[in-house]
Amino acid sequence: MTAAPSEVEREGAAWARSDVNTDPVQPAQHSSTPHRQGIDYVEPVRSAISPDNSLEAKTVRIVSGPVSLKTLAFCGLVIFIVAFLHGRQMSRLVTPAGEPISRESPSVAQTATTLTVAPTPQSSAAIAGVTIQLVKFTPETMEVSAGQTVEWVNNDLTPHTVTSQGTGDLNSGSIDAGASWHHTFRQAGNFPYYCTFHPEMKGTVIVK
Amino acid sequence: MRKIIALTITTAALAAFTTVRAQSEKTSTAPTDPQIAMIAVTANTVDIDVGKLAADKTTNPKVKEFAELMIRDHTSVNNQATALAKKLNVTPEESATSRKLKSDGEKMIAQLKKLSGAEFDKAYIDNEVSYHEAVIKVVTDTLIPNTKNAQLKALLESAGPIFTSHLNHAKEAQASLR
Repeated sequence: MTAAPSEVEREGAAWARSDVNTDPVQPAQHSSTPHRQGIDYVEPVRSAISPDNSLEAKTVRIVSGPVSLKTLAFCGLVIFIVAFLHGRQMSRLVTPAGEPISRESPSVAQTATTLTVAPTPQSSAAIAGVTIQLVKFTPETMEVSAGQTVEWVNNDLTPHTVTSQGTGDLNSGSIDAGASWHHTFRQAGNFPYYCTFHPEMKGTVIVK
Repeated sequence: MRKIIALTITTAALAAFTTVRAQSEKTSTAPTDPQIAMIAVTANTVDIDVGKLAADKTTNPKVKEFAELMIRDHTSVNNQATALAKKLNVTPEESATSRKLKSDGEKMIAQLKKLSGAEFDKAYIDNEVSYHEAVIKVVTDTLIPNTKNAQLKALLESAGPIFTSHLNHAKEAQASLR
């Protein structure tokens, strides 16, 4: 009475290792317990074992015992690997500038992509820069498009102004050393300007 | 008498910077960066103080405009120089040259205070022409070549065109007073 279960278990273990199941009874056993899986099979199987019916016991053990545990472990491993790879895939999402985007901020990723594919009108109108240095405007002549903004950056040691010569609405007031001032040109035309503090400093913005 | 005072002021300005050059040439030791920083700050301060006196005393719009330009620009240059010295951890150091500049500046202000009206305007502008000519020469020939720190040297080089602009302004004002 006690030797049979151990023998069955050994056989079951051997079958499980070979991963072969040729027993025609197996489908019937599966269909009888459709909602139970894995290790839950063990106890009903033991109750069905008898010394006179070793075939039944062997069949049940093959289907429900060690194979289910292995399958469970395998599935768990697969789920873990898939989750891990998915996580890595998400973390590799980057902005066009090369900055990683966390999956917690999908809206940022979407915005960055949109900016790259279809730039807004504001981003396409780049700011044109004029440097003020060594008592000069550089470049002295700047060509821009209508609607574009020009920024004057004072890298000189003293304050300067950007003031229209004749008629015009350029009137920066004093731009301190290290400060800047900008103006958006709406209409086409030539806009000559100078520095009221140092009138020899002259420049022109040509708007096309 | 007042012409003599005006002539004396101009002569004093020239003498101050001639002394700077002479001392640099005579002494084997060139000015150090801390000494150069102090010379630059003192030269700016002298012109700011004289400019304040002129802005207060003159009634001539051109002279007043020039005096205000001197106050604004030299104050800004001094602010930049002081900020740079602080950033570089350089403490401006007095020297015989900076002390001479300061005392000559004080004498110049004392002389100008004795004048008024057109005589004051002429004496002030004549002095500014001579002063800026001397400053440009000293900065170019003595201070820049002896400056070791690249940022301090760059600041002095940037100041050159500003002083040249001031000289041109002073000459225009001088011509308008004739």
